[in-house]
Amino acid sequence: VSRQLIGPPVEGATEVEVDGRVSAFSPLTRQIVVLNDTASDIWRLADGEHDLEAIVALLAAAYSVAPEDIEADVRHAVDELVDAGLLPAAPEG
Amino acid sequence: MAEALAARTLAVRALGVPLALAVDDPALRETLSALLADVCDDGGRDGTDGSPGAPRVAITVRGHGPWAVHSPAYDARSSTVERALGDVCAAVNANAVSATPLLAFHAAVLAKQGRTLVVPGVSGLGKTTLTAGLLLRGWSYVSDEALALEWSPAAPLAYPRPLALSAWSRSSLGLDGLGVPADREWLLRPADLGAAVEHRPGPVTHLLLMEPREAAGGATPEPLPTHRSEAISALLQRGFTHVRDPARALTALAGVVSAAAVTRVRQGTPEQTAAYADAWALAPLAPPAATGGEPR
Repeated sequence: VSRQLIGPPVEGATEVEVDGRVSAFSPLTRQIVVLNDTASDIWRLADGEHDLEAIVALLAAAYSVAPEDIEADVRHAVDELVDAGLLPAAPEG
Repeated sequence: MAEALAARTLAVRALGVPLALAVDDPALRETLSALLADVCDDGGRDGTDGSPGAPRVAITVRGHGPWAVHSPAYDARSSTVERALGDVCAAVNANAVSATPLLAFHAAVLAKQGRTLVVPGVSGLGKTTLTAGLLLRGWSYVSDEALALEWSPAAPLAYPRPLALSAWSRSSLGLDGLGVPADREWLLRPADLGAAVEHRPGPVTHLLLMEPREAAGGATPEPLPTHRSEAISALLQRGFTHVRDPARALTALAGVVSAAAVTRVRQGTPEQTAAYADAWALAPLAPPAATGGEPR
């Protein structure tokens, strides 16, 4: 599992929350993304202080599931947040 | 010369945009004058400041048949008076949407008893049919085209353009015989349905997300599970102007949605769907949710 810290959100990202779900605007892509519950949880943990392993562990505990059962989904969600211009891409290498 | 021009020009204000509609044909002008009475420009009735010095967007309609409609955002050549009416209304709308300073989303907006109901939807979903059905149930008309905000969650602004009902919708609601024919649609003012225009509605209290009726669907509308954030998606997908300042638009939208009740419903018959929406939007309000609306 990567030790790369995830986040924080790109500078200038705007975030709002309605009933626990986050919607966020990326100044890089000029797109607004409305996140589901799980992606909203990942977004909140993508603060630059947690790596992927830590995020997986926290979510697994919160959802009462095994970390290995959600790791691929969390990684995919993080990749989508990066693709949406909301999280910075991991540095090369 | 100037007097002659003024005599054949209708002053319209749509989505805060002042428009000058110059029509050569007196019969067509008279019909348009009656149809567009609810958006005639009386200096800010729609809630905008009126901007008396602002230049008007010019829409010209030349000829007495065929008719040539010319404007910055919409041009057409109409061979029948029905098509000309449709084209002029389309030109008013296209120029309003193109030049509006407001944050606007494709949606119907109605008001009744202090409630303001918004129904987002693309053309063809049944939005105008539901609007007409609600007008028949005592709701006041704000718009069947746009939820228009001053880039904040405060009360929307009225854009009470004529309703355009299909033959099917008109018939389904028992309105045969009403309206002015216009290119496969009938144009009606709310007054034709015995309804008033609400030029100053209150802030949005209800958002109804509509799903199309299934081919073998029942007459009764079916409530579907939803989350309030889906209203943000629904409106953004139908945004006219949010791309000008998406961050500000998102903050305003979240404020609107956080303060409103939201439901999703699969349509039944027009009459049953209107009855459902009427009952839902007039039911006692739940206390506002604790979350939402504030940017991080």
